[in-house]
Amino acid sequence: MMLGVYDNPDTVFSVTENLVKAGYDVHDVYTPFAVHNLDKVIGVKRTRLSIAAFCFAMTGLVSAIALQTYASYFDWQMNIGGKPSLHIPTYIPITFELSILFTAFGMVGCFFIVNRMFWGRNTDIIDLRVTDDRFVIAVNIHSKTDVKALEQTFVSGGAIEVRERAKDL
Amino acid sequence: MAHATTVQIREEKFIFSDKAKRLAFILMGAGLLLALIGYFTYHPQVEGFTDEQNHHLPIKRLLASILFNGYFFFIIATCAAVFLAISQVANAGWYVAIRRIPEAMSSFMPIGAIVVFGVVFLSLVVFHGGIYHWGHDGVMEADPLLAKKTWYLNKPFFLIRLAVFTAFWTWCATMIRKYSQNEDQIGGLTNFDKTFKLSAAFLVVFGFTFSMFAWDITMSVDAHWYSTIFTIYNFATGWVSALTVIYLITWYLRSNGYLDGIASDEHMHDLGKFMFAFSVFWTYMWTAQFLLIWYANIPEEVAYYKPRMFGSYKFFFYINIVLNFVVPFFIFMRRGAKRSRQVGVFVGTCILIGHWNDVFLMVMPGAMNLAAAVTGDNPTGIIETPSQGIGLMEIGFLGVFAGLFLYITLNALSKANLYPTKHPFLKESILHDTGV
Amino acid sequence: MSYESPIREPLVTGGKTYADVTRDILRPLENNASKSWWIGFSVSAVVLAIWIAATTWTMLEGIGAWGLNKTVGWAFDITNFVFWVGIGHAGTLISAVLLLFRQKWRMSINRSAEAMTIFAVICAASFILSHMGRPWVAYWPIPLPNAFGTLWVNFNSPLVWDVFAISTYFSVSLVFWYIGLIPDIATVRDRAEGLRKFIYNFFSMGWNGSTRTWHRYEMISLILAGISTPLVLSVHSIVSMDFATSLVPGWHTTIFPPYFVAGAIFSGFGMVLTLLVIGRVVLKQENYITMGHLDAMCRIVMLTGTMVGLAYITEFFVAAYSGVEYEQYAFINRASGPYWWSYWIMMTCNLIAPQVFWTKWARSTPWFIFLMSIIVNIGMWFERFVIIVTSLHRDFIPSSWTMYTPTITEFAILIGSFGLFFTLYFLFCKYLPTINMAEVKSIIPTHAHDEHHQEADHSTIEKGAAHG
Repeated sequence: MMLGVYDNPDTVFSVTENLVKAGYDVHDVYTPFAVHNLDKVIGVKRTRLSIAAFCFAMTGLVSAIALQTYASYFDWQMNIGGKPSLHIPTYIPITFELSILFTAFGMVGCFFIVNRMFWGRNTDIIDLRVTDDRFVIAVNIHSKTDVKALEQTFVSGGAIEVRERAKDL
Repeated sequence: MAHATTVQIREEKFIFSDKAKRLAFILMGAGLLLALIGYFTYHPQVEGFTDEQNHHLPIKRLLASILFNGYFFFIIATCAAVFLAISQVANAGWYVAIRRIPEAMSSFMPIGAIVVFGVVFLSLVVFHGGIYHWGHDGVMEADPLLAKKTWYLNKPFFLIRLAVFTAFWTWCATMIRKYSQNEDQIGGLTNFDKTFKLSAAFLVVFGFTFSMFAWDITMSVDAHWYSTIFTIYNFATGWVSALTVIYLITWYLRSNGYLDGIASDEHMHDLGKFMFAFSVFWTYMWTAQFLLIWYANIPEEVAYYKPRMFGSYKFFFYINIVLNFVVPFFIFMRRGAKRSRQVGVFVGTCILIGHWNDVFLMVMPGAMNLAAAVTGDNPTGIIETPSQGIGLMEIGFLGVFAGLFLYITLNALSKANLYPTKHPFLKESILHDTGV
Repeated sequence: MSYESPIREPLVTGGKTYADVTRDILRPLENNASKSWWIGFSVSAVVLAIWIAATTWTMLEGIGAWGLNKTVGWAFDITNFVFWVGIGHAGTLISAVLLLFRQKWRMSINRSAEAMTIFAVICAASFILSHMGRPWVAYWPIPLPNAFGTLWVNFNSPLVWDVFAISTYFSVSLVFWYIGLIPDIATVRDRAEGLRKFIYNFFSMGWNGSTRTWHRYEMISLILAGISTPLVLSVHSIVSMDFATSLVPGWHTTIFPPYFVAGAIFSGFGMVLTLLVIGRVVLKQENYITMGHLDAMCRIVMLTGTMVGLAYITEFFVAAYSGVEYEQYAFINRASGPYWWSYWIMMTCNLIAPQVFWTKWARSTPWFIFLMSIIVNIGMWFERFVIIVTSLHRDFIPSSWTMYTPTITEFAILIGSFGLFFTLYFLFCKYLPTINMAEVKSIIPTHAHDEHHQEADHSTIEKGAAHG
């Protein structure tokens, strides 16, 4: 795996674009912040976390209505202030809150699962400086890859460092 | 980032085609015809009403139809001006490419103001009350509750403040439009700065005066009833409708080849997002008012909801929530929906019908009621008229005002360049990217 | 990078590079605590001790330690609760609403505002516990079959809604805050050694900065912002319904939900200003929290103050319009009854005072902004006091009319709660980055193409100007 280290998001962006156009297998690009549209360039598929979020919201909605109708209508009716036991308008606040709660926790949980993130995980960090001020393009090397040309592209694009990494991620 | 930073800024004019003009005139003509047919064929025979009482209903319904339609389009035009002012004050950049559309919409304000003032004047002065229960001769003195409101609900004060407020807003909108067009001529930042100052002043005055305006025009139709949130609720209605109209007109222009390379799907996405967000906002206001009144169950307050929720207006009450909340919420949640013309036009139409229905529901029940002597059996002095449904008069005047609104808006749009060519944020707007 | 018009002020000044951002913002974390930090922390800890003592006394003695009586059964406790919940609104508002409206200046203030949210909600929750009087049965409002028998909580009650709203708000805010912190914790991790590295590594959850991760991260940030926005509105709306669903004149009014929300944003921004006007100097962050940021926040304070004022006037007016003498009396009594002074403090601090922010001088003078932020906080505390106490102390039967005087214990709890808040805040300043570094880096102009583009834009503008 070849790594090109850069210090500017714009050059990273154009170099990545060129690499993808030239047909290299760009593994990933590591950046200290989200570089706009870079995900589209390296062909990251649009995440389906938003669909997950919607499903969790609906789960929360149904659970909240189920809890309230069960507790206040089917299980044990109470007459408080003469309000009907199946008091639909007053279900609104709790239903809303639980939908939000389920969405937030469900979606964030899914986010951790798809990224394989958990407390205490020791990750294989590609370069300690990517969380500071460096941008790293990682390109997978296959038998047919022209390493010399790749290096050339890295350097001519303005890389401040090009190196090989033995271990794959 | 792909460095598409070169943009082509050119003069582009909207040509108000004969076809579109014809459509506007057909809407107006057919609407007027329908309304007249509706008026002359409306011979209500409400059960339990005397002939004389029945005789009052046609003119009430005519006035109420004009009022709620005129009010609806007037607040759309006003909220378009508010949209300009808020965007200006917030230093927003994304909206500049479509800025001329709300500007054009706000040019309906003078006519809208005249219509609202005219119908209120007719009601209060010529027809001695008309749709306003409190305006009937002798009602204010005989009704102990209304007698306490004479300091605020009296005809001269009512008409004067209505005229002053609407005139001031119209003047502000006209000036904002004028500065924007001057900017096209001379460029620079002078007009931008002037608009900023005027917008801030306009918003402050609008905040305070719109409250009274909404209480006067729609809340005082039910003169016994009051709700402190009513203003914000009315504003939410007008605001969502205005955003929707901007969205629909932008689609219309884009599908006819205008604004090519200027307004993109990104702008549709943002407008759609606003429609979505403010539909939720409207629902919040609706819920706040409804839930609190339902919960406290005070007879004076629930009197407002009783005919609407359980009486003959039941259908309109429930369809209101479906059109204004359920449809935009569940359809516009998806990213693609806001960027699709078919889906967007469908949702936009639902929202507009929904809010038209909302204003209908605010005005009609109270406006159609009859005044009677205050007695022990009838302490409010009101005889409720059951819902007469939505008939030719309501639809007819919708056509009249929709046609008029379209004609004035599109005509104003054709007068200036389709986008402000020298606005300092224009380039930002053209290159706008929502990032999702 | 999206395009920015040249007439916009830069959000980060001083020509900072990415490495500068990291170094500047992590300075308090990576060095020994400064003297000013120790002073501030110690004072807060002492005040916190007052809170612990006063709360403990209340638990031992019972609610009798407070000045409540049969008519005014709800006073300082709920005032403080609503006050702190209100403060807790600006954080999520800044992150969520301003993110949706693409107000980029939020980026250097959202972290500390969110921290403030969480600590303020903790303070608010402490008042719920203490005003229950019997905190060991605090699980009763949770919908379990009551005392594990067959009776459930009353789902009609806004107090039960509050339980759901506050706990949802607290946990979702915490998640939102933590998600925002992960990339920054990873930055700390990659610069630290030893035990520090172990701890920050533990909480960084293996963040690696890859574009795939960022792609998902941006999506969930956006959705969290999207759901937090109505959440913020709902929480204070539900708090307002604690009052508005009742029949008490002055409480039962339909404008309460949006009016409370506007007030919450107002007081929240007041507290953010209090913290940041000082914090930016002490933590040497003037280049990140610039005068432009203070200016923008002052404008929001003015806007929301005017909105709150509009609500006061609306209430007053509609009470007059309503013709209902109980409503009318409630409002006349507020303005001219025995608690008239609290009403006028509220009016002066919330509606009149923020109007000074129309002047450029007021928005650009830090000491004055600080003073104003304190005034806003005082005003918003009194708003709740006015709503709660003046509506209650005149009961329906004149024979129950009474006055309410707080005891020293109540004052001690109020003052002590600031100790709780500031102790947590000082710990936050020491152990976590107070500015979202990843976001701030994304708005720094990229050095290479920056200058040459700015020039090109200036010429367009000038050409425009030359036309006429």
